[in-house]
Amino acid sequence: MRLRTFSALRLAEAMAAVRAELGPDAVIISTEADERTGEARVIAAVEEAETEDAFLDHILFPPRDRPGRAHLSDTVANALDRTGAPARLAGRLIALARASEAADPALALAAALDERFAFAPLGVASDRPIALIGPPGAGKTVTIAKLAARAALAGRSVGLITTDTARAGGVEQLGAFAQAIGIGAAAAEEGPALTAALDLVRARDLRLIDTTGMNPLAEDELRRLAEILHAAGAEPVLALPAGLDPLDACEIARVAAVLGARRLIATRLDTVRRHGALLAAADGADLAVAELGFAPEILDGLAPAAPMGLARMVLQSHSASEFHPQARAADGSP
Amino acid sequence: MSAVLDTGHFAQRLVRRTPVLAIASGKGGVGKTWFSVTLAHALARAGRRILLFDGDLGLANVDIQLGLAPRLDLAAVVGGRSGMEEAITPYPAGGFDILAGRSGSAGLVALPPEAVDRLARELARTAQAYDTVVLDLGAGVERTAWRLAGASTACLVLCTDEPTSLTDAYAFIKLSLRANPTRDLRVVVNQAASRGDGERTYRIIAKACDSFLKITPPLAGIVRRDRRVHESVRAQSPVLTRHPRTPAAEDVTAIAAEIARELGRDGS
Repeated sequence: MRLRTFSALRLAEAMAAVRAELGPDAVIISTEADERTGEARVIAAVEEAETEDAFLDHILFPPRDRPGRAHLSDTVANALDRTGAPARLAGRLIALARASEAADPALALAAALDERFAFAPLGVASDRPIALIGPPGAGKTVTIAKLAARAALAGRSVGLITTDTARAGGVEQLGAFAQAIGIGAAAAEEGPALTAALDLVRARDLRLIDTTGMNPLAEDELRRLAEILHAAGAEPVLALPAGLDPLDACEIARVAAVLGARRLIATRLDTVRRHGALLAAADGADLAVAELGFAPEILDGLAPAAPMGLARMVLQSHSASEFHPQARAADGSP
Repeated sequence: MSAVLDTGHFAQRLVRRTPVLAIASGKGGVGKTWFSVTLAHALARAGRRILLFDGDLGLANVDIQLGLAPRLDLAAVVGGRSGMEEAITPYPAGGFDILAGRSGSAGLVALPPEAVDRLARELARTAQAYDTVVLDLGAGVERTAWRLAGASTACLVLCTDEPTSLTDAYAFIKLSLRANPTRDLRVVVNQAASRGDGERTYRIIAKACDSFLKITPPLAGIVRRDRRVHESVRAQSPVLTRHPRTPAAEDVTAIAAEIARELGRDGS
């Protein structure tokens, strides 16, 4: 609506001005005479062309509510929202995706992820031993097997050590994997034994240490883990399983960061649709994303993390979940 | 002002949940936050348990107007760092509770629609501990404010006599009605030079709505321009505490009394 006030000495003149300026569709809202000057004052209005309405429509009614008018940032927004990532992080990523001006949702989201997160794959060699830490059942042992297999295939020498001697079958599991790859594995509970075991493999390109599943709430266990990491001079890398509550994942990641972790490996990504916990943890504890574990296969179930891969994963799980009716439809629309 | 009560929709929804009064303006700078704070205060003085929810996600300043420094705010709720109940700050001087927004947080404005809907649902749940929620909406027609307004029982649209304010208030009313033709919308004229001037301003918006939308939103009240309002805002102290008999304070108190009477009559 355009609203205008017209003043003239006589009412007829003011009316003529209304028609001239606003056209024949103008509606007279009020007419009055100025008490002091006696001038006629007319307030008139005209409805704007539909362009204004279309613009407002676009702002107020998300394209998702209007079938057939899909829009890039809403594809990204809906995908992110369905990950269950904290709304604030999702909002930030959406804003970054919009700012990227990329024409394709995957590219836009990748640009946003690249901006917000660090990506730091582990590679096939490392000066420091790498210790995988994480909650029980995170897939640490199988991830170590994957990392070892990758390095071995690249012609690198690998040393495997496990400190997970308490869990039934822990040593045996790693041993079986090591045997399959054709390398040896050593078990060492802690302290001197660990130092000795590391010494035996000190010339290897990649030295990997498996650890006991950590309970982020058990201080005693965490202290013991810190001692092991210190004795080994190892870089702790968090193995974070998919499917956790985002806040729990965030807490685990923060504990890992306190233990010295700077990177995380996302595991079991193929078992869930919502990857909000991964995003929340990496963001909340400022951990770089190192690797994405997306399949159980030892030989090709792990991929170095990169923005585009993560973006595709988030968008794909979104489209894969379409058969779940999004029943929480527009109850919020006025 | 009996036309105001003529809304079965309002009463019907009251039975099921705590009424949420949204305060919208279309345009910034018309005194929306001041009005929200003062209305919450006046309703609290009338004996109702009030939560003032600062839904102005882009430029929230309820806490600043009241000189509060809340430990937690809406951003903490949205970010999952706090539940909504924990983020509520009591405001003993006014006898009501506040959920503070967060100034200049782009992250909140860019919330995906589903997140805003979640927020609205959580608000409806939290509201059960109160008699009325006053929801201070963001300025302008912005998506987040829009969806939050959709969760309200009734919406007071604030305007002044400035053409831009009238145009924006009209746009808010038009789009609200398009989304929901039975929406309970009422007009508040703020900063009126006199009651007569306020009525003239109301007639402009009423006539425009009647001409173009074939509907006339009722007048909820007129708040006269008052230098003591400015003075109280600067002193970060509510006008009803400092100058309860000043014209603007009396006008808001009258609007609150009407609303309280109506809510009481509807048996909530």
